Amino acid sequence: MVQTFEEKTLNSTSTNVQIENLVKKFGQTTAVHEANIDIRSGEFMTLLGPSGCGKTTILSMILGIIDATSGTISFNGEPINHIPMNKRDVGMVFQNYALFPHMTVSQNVAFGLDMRKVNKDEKKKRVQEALEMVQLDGYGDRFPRELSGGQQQRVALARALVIRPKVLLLDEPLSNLDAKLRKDMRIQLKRLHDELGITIIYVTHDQEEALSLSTKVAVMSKGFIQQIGSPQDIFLNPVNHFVANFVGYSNFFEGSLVEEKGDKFLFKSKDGLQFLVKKNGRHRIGDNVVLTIKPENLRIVDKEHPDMNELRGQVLVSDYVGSTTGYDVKTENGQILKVNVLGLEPYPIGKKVILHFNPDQMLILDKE
Amino acid sequence: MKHETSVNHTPAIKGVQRKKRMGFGRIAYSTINWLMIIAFLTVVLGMTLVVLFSAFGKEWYTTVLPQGFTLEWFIKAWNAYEIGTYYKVTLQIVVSATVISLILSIPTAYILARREFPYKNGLISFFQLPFTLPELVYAIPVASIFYSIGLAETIPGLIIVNLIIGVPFSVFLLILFTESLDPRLEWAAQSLGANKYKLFTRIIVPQLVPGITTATINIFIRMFSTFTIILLISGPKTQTLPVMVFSVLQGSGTQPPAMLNSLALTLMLPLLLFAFVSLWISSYTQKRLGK
Amino acid sequence: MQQPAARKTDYLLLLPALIPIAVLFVYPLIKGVLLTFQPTGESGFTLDNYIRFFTEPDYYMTIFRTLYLVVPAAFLELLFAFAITYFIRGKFKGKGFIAGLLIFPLTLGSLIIDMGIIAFFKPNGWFNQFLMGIGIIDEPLTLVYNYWGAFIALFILGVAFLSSNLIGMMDSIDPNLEQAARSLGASEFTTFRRVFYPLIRSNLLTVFGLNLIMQIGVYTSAIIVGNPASETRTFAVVAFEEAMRYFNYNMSNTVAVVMATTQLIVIAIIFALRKRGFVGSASTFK
Repeated sequence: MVQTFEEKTLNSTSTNVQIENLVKKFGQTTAVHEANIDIRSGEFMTLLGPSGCGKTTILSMILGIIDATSGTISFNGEPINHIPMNKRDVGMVFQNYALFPHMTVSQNVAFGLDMRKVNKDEKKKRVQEALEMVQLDGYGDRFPRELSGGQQQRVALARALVIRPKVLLLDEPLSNLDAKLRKDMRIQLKRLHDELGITIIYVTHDQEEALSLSTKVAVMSKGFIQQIGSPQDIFLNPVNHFVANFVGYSNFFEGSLVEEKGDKFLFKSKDGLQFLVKKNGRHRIGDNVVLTIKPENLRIVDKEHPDMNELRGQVLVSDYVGSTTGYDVKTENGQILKVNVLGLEPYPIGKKVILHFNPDQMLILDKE
Repeated sequence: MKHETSVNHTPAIKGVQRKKRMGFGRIAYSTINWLMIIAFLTVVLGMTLVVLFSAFGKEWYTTVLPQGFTLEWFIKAWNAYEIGTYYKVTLQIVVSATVISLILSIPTAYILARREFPYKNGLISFFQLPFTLPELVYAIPVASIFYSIGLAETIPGLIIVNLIIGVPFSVFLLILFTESLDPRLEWAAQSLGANKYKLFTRIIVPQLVPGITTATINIFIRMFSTFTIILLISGPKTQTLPVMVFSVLQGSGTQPPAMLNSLALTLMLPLLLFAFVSLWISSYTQKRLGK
Repeated sequence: MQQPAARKTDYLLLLPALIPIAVLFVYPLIKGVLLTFQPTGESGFTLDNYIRFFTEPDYYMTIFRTLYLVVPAAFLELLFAFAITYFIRGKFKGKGFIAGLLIFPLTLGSLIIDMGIIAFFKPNGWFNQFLMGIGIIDEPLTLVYNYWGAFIALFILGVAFLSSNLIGMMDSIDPNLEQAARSLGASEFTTFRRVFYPLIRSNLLTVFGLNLIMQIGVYTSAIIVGNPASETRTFAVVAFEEAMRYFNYNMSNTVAVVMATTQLIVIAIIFALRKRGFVGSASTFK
């Protein structure tokens, strides 16, 4: 069912979702602080963060299991806060699939259509289409317990999609699958999204999933949204320490920007190290910031003495994983930095090395 | 035994609260349910209170509350029915029977949990029969046998009879607990040279302490409340407390209610005590096992 | 997990528990059934006991009297306990307290409940005082020492027993299943009808059956709060009487066997009903 671009955008069930000042409190604890998220129709939006960050709470509010303490959720401009859960027309895939054990696959998929009183022939046709879409054609008469985890998950998908929902919600759907299945399912999900053009809201703690599947990502921590942006934005320009850490940066230096030097800032860390770093337009002299550099961007150079943007260090651990080698290097100021180099380089444990920090590849982050 | 978690809460969707939107049907549904709950609880609490008041009350005929409170009746009842003696006798019997039951059931439970037997499941179900089948069917022949061999109306006889209540249930519980022990600990001990006896005393039994405690409490309570068999073979002085209370209540027309209710109270107190103890123990064991 | 096979010596370890059960249970059980086929005091085979049972009204009426008392009570108990435990399921403030009080009668046992019923429901007890006080009735209702006394006792203990099981069962149905159904458009009632009830049905039947069977053996309540001479002359009442007053163990056992047969028939019916629905775990599998 490949649709043209026009067909996709004119798809009448394609919905945009606005979340405005959404707050959720449980007693004294605030699970979600004033969330503002704008999801355009057809977007694949992922809420990304560690457990307890509030991402699932937001999903639950969109689904309707819990009510917001304050704030609004709207579909195409219409607030849905007070619409009961069974009238919101959202499709949901639960983390543990929640397939009805006492019904066959077909009956499970048909359930939403039963509720909408779709006539028998139409129902049969749509169930068939849905099963084909997830490549489970022929499994209609099986029971959930006879299926593998991956198959159950696809049934859950089919069940959610067959009702042509306004929005598709997914709660960590891949976390119970093994690595290979996870990759396969990711590809399937992406394909489905491309074909159907449906608005998707996805919740996960796995940043690889988030970056590969989404058109937009909202990184959350402790109930606050840390950053919203495209996967590239998040990955290349993390805004603060938390986001950077979450997407795989290590090697952090706390300090402040003390001077301007042409198109660069001079950064001085808390323990006295100095680095030149490219300006980024967001920060100014005097800001307290965190500097970071990806392990892939740190270089080990053959020298006797360090220059500017270079540190002395000693190799602690070397971990050859096939295409790269990861080193833990203890620097002169006592920090342990992570360096990734291609292939296998001859830096044994104990070797004294010099690390080079490229000013253009260092990122300036807000302190979290 | 498969560990099938019966509650598969997605850890992700936490704090699910029942959102009740107030429609008329819903209000009616809620009200009816609350009325039922309140009615039931009021009756139950009311009954308990009445017994209490009656036992400790002075004159009480047609008024809402007794005229005053006193310990008189309670003390009279205690003496008249020789409750102290019966407590002693009951404890004697039940404690001995419990201990013996445990000793008899531990080896069997262990071997059933750790070895494959032909028809193992059948065997395990067999052990459950005595407490799943209605007692009456075998209680009466037991009574007649005991009478014919002179064991009826004796303390040892009562102790022996209680074994049929304690052993099967104890085996059942202990099998469950033993299965949850890690067999690798036992293999390690054996590889280090432990013989069967040492294995039991130093590895298995210490781990089974929560199981043994649970079993003890359970069978103690069961024996205490068991009725049918004891009733049939009890003699005038060799009865457990519940059976004694029942015999008195059977001919209850002639006694003042205060006396009878005091009597009932003496039975209530140990039962309440057991309830608290077993609740406390089970929450304590759960904490220790890190549930 | 597969365990190693049992060796000859292992069978010995079965003995400590097997011997008491064989002696105190299996042998008496067999002897008891045999007794029913023997005339009083002698050996030999006869069907007299059973003939007597089914021809003398005092005996065969026990079947109807017991069922007439126990069956309606069991249904009412189920309705009541199910409604309440369903209502309080899930996370609910005060649920533990309500659950505890529901199960409380079980801890007290039937003797104390019986005493409580007498004290509470007697003609000048609180219940009647209350009803007369608010003007619903003029004369006190006779609720003790008759059918109703035993009925109330059964009801309270039955609700307690059922609740103690149902509370756990209510929570064993994965709430995600209900949420899934609702998100697909089902109303609360439809969710109950098509998702919740089918999943809980088999365990529900089991627990109901268990309760019914236990209550068929009712004894103390029938005597203390009931009218053992007529209305509440149940199986157990007659069986005990034969044994303790007339020392007619043969007849006593005959009554017991008929009772056990009734209980078996109940099990068979429940089992058959169960099979027609979904039997299995109601949690979602991975």
